[in-house]
Amino acid sequence: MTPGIQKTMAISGAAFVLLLFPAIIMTGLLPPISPMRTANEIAVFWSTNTGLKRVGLVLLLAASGLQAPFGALLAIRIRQMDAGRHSPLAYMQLVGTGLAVVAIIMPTFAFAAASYRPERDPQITQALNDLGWLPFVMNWPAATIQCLAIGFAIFGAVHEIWPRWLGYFNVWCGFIFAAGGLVVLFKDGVFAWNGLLAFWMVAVFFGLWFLIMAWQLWVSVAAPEGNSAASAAPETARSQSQQ
Amino acid sequence: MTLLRQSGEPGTAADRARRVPGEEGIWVFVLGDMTVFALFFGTFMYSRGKNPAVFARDHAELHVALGTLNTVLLLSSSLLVVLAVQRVLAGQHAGTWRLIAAALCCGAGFVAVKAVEWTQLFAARKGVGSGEFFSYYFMFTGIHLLHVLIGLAVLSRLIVVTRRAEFTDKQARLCETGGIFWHMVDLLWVVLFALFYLVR
Repeated sequence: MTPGIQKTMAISGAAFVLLLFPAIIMTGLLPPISPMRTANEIAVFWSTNTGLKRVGLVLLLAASGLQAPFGALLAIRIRQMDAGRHSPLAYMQLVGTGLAVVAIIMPTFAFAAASYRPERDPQITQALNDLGWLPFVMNWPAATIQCLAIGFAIFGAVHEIWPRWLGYFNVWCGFIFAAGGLVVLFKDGVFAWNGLLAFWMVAVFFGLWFLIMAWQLWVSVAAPEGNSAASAAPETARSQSQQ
Repeated sequence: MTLLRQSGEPGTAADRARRVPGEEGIWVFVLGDMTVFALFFGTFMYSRGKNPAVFARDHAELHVALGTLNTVLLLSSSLLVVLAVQRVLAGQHAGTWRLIAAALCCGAGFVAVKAVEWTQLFAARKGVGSGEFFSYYFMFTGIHLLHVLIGLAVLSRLIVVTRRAEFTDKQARLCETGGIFWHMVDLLWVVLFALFYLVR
């Protein structure tokens, strides 16, 4: 794999965030509509600015796929850290990435259905709105699986490709992302799908995680793939940490 | 730290004086977690300020005695871990597993007391859905309880490590790192205890 392709795959993680958040804003999902709104209010929301909202959803769908190359490169880094052994953590990472793509796609379709027929019964639109928002915020395993796979790969690394603080950062992010998992219990307050802790805190660190991992993937592109060269990488890492 | 690991020899006194305790990376986790909990405490105080009467009423439903017992349990277990880590760093790791095992028992006691407390609250028909105070109470103490469970897993690991014949600086550093995590769990509980049980 050429460094150019690797760099493109690394950048796709940052591109995902840079496309995701504008798409969310275009669709009108930021700030999130309160779960306390009535069916009529939600129907009015989905039947105004429909053009912009639908284009936003198209972009949201496009963004979701950018996680695939990014996640695949993460899995390769896990294999490099685990050099020469079976790497179950790399497969765990790939499963997580697959789920993460679905985690964006699925709510996007529900939102698309909500905006598709403004003339229909508001109760149905409310149900579709719920069907979009609940998985959108609640679906934490996809991200947490990846964080834990990367974190434990760094802790147990044979070849030190990434610094250990990045492992702790990943494990910590894994817990943060889980904060959205309880939104089904709340319609109001900080743990509801529009709440400070379930939505805003997770959204901020979700974005940051992609940017930080894209940066770390980018700077580790030089880390060679072959065995002979791979053994040289830890040496450089060590000499850096001694300074 | 890598220097120590490579040489496999204990660091000099000067090294010890300068270095960050434990692994540097654990501080990313600890400071991150403390920031999030600070956010938790801030939102709680904000909601409480908006609705003091309801918070005061629900606050009266909690058993201060059980909360105090839990605080004593966690503080004791933190002390035991301090003693264990001190011995490990002084190069006397033999037998420290008993101290860590005692700390583990205190931690398990905390979980048991929490289970009793929650069962009583559930029996009194209090749950996550019973108003703002209880949703905060169950969420924050629940997230903290998850930290305690992870801490218990970490302590169990330390017991295994300290009982092994092979014990290098790497293992000593692991003990120190695990200790830092456990102290953080303790510290967060002290603030939670003050916030939910004591503040009137």
